[in-house]
Amino acid sequence: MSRWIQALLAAALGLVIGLFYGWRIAPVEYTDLAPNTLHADYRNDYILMVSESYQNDKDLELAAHRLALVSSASPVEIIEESLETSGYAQENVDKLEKLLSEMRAWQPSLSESMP
Amino acid sequence: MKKILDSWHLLAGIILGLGLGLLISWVIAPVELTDAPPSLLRTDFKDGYRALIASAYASTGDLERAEERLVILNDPDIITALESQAERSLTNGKSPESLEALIVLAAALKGESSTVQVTNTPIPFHTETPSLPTQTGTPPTPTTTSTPEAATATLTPIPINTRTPRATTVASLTPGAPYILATQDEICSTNISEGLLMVYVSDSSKKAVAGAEIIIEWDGKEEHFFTGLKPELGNGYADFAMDENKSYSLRLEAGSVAISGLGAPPCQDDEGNHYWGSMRLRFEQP
Repeated sequence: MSRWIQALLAAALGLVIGLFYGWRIAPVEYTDLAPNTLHADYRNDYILMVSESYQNDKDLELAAHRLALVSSASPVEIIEESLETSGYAQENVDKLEKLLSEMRAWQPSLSESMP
Repeated sequence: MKKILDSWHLLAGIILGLGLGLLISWVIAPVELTDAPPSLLRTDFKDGYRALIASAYASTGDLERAEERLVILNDPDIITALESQAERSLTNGKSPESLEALIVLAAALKGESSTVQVTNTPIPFHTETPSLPTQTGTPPTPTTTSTPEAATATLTPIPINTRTPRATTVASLTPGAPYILATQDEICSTNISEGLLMVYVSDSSKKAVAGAEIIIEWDGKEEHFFTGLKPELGNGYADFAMDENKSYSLRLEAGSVAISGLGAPPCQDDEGNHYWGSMRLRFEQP
């Protein structure tokens, strides 16, 4: 076997070891994350909190802003997904559905959508 | 030695591959985190998360759930975290609603009862335009019988005979004001910071009101501060450091008489040394 082939095989072995170490043994440690990285359970709870908060402040713009932090999908889609995946009790489902129906009817003004 | 030199190409290959592997796994394509707990959120997102918890609590009143949600943020002390965020919000001029929610949740977690002025609905109790707020039908609470509060417990006013007369306080009337000025005291005590304006706000049942917004004006400037940010002195307590050479006007944002002519009173200690005293205002709902 030529030395070049031996070197390439050694490099391939080194690559595998390097990837295994970097992805599994000592992966990049994250801090300062954004809410879109939250675990699904925390994300669902976050969305539930948005709906609970909305019951009090009735501020759809604020609710939409808060929802935009957890996903790039539309607020309606975010709430719908949460309703499908969260498995909440009926009381919490009612809160989410209330926000969902309001959000469906909501038309953000032009000034709100402008950068 | 000769053997090592003979296998240099293997060593170089492994080092090269290892380096490439680490470059890919740490820089080019690092592990994507999609299952993060809230404790790993960036500070400003944590603040937003905390504010949302407080806002949800304001809606549901479920303290246990709010506490569970706060715990997962891994703050060393959840109450301190709420209070320091409230102070930051005040500094940054965040919405009063958010500030109130934070203060109320912090107070609830400490087991303190607090009420917050969350509505600006005026309570029409003035039908005339009297010149002083004490003419509203609600007698002012005498200082000696006022509700004991943490700050006042340590005050030892020293009567001063050489006080310089100050301009008479003028109270103008805000129509529909829900708060009246119950008492206004000048305090000479070396135990209190010089020129401190102390404000206490309580509701009609004498409960301290946290989160009450206070507006103070002087020389064309205006500043807002809130009760409840020093809970160790009472939820209805707020203070402001006055410049001894300036005259201030103060009112509650929720509606109250505007108290003008406020300033640090001149005082003297037992040895005749001059210092500036403090003022204490008590606002109450009739």
